[in-house]
Amino acid sequence: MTRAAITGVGAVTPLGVGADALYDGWTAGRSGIVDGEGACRDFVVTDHLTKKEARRADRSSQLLLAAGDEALLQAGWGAPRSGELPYAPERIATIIGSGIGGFITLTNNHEALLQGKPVSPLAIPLLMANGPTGQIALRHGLLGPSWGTVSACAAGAHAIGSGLRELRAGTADAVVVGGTEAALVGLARAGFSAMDALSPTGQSRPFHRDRDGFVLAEGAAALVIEDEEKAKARGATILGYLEGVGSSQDAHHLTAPTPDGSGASRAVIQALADAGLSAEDIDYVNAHGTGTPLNDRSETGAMRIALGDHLSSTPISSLKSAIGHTLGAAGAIEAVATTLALRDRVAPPTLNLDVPDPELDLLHVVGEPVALRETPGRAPHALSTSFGFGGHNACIVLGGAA
Amino acid sequence: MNHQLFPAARSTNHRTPGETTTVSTPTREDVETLVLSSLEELGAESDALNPTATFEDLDVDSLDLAELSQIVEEQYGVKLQGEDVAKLRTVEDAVNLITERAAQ
Repeated sequence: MTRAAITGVGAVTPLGVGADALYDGWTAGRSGIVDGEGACRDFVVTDHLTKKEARRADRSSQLLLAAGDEALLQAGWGAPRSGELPYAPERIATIIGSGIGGFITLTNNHEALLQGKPVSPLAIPLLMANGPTGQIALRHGLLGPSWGTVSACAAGAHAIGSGLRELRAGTADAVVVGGTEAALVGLARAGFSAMDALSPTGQSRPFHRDRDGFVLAEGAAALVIEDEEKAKARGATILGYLEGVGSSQDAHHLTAPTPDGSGASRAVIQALADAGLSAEDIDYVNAHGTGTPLNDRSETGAMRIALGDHLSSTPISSLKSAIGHTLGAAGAIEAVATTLALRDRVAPPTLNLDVPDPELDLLHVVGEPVALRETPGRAPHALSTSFGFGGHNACIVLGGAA
Repeated sequence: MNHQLFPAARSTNHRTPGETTTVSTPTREDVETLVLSSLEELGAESDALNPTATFEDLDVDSLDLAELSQIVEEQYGVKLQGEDVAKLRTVEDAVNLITERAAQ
């Protein structure tokens, strides 16, 4: 079967612009959350896009395009339209997830409409949830299979999983996958608050005894993933591997996860089987870990079902403790961070976890990153989970490069 | 925090507060000034902007022209229909059409 090699990663997050800013910040225990929100404060759109490109992109696409440029450049694919694509453009797929799409564009134009002002001709192309996928394909001239994934906070992980399946199906030699979200708008704040999902104290404290909800954040990440043989043939540097994907549906409640985690566990079990691994092969779990009372309890149950006793000796941590919850971007941002953690053979910490919830029987990483267990003869493997309102569960398996 | 990089309603750019949408008939010069400044606002390269430039050269497409039409309507009360706009090739074409319609 085709092995999927990760050759480029890019990210724009509350910890800064670039995958290194994200990963270095997280492993150093820095938080990108300010005043109870995770905004990409370091992102200057004109550093990445012309005035016209910026006008024609919702902030969700702006963040994604910057992350995409970084990922493609790292993969050795050159700058946009530089003519350096290593494969026929028809053989490069683009799949990007977003929870909502162009939330800022949507609310601004709706406000204009209510005030009797003109609605922009750009409103629809900028607010549609597949917009970021179309934008990144247009920017780089990528002509292969292309669509957006929409599964709330699992959208980024679903995009990555869908890309893996395109590669395996032989419909693409390479895929550009990722996720993006820019939803720091009043409607999102009010809506998530009304359902008691947001932390009223503005603290992101996954797995904490006193956790009280998630912290709203924005960001984007992109990954370039290629057929390993082809990547090697062109001399690409391989950062890691995408080894498996699983997904499932709770069919339990509009928003609440299954209390025992059985719904999510099926995605994890499926991902392990897809990667041809057993629970004992997993060296690190990059948790969805939102910091809502319900998620963290359900997720712990899911992991217990899927990994059994092995869970007790497997380090687990949540990036959301450092940047908040980027919704549809989260799975992609976490995949980028996990890829870099596997490269360095470490498990980064969960921040703010001074008092772990005693009911969650997990091996937390607190303070400094911890070295991953070494197994002779193989590189480490990690799981990264993403669960979305609507009952959507996704899990990907990532592997370190040799 | 303001992330409003795309202003939903930019039609007020060319009006002073309190002014109404229907003003006295604009001169051709007024229209040219408005069209050029609007195209620049929409992101056209200012170096290449001149009355004889073609929209193709300026990378101005149908969505840009739809935005321009909104500005013109807001400013002069002139409605440009899809087929009118489709025929426009140069900045001058647009200025002539708008001036003509505004005088009607």
